[in-house]
Amino acid sequence: MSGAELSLAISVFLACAVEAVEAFTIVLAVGTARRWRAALYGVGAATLVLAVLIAALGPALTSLPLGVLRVVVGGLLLTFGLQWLRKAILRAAGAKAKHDEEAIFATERAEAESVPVTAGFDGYAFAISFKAVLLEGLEVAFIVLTFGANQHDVGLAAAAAAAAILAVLGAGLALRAPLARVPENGMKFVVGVLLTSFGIFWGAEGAGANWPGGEASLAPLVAVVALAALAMVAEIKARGAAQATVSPSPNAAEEIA
Amino acid sequence: MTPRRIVLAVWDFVVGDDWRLALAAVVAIGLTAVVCALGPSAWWLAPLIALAALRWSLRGAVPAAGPSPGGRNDPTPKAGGPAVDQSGVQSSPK
Repeated sequence: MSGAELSLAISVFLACAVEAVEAFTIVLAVGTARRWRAALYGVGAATLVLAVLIAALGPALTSLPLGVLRVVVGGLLLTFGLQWLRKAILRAAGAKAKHDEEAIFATERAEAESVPVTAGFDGYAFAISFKAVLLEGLEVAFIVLTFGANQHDVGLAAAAAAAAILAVLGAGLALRAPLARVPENGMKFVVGVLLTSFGIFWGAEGAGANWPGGEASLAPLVAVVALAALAMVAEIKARGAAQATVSPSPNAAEEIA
Repeated sequence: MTPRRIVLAVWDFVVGDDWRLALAAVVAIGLTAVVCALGPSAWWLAPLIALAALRWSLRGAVPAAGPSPGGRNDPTPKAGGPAVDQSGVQSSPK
């Protein structure tokens, strides 16, 4: 396995694991509060839709000329990656609420319990599970397609995604609880760095740039993006500390915003 | 689902919270293409623009206020629902 293929597999695995943890929390909440059968039907239906989407769009993407593919996919990945990284930086700096799977599980479960369960098929459990898996899965499908098409290896990307889903599912079934101990916020930071780096690399290459050392420049690029992101976290924290010195009000942020 | 809602959903999925970052991605790749077409290999341009845009976007999101006390004590977003960062920008919980 080449370095680029390994990076692809790691990126897809991490991104997929994060999304799978989020979907698992919601399905678990609905399943335990209501009926497992309908919740699992929802999971199955959403998985089918996602599989059809990847099977239909994968060949279409890989048939594009490489230059066009890299510009389009690089641009999309860069857009996506910058958004992930922005949120991850805000979370790491304490300026945005972190994902708390236990809190989300409690909220989802309370909501599921508040809706009366009717006789027959539980449409509520089906709909909530379907929506959770489809929405979280769409991001995974996007990442699998873009990474896989660019490396002309959608199969490897899909395998990495499947491995992540199985790992999360295995851990979740063993624990029978929300996977609150998965370092979700840290993983999102890493995924943001990887998506941004790959987006920059492929986008620039598709635009005609020649990276010094070719694919070997990908690792230093990832390092530069990661260091820059960490510096931005430190900058926001420092500004917060300076602000706290000037204004001791705990609501300073909200007052200024 | 109306066509308008589909367009909005696609916009939200691809562009996300800050449209300026999406614009920066387009500018980064577009400018790289222009400079490369003129001769030099401008591999350095895309990372420069992308990281500068990210820093700019973050400055807008946390206007001279920095982190909230405790971080985790921010209003916790509802699963799958919107969260609000300190700029008041609604964001998905991704």
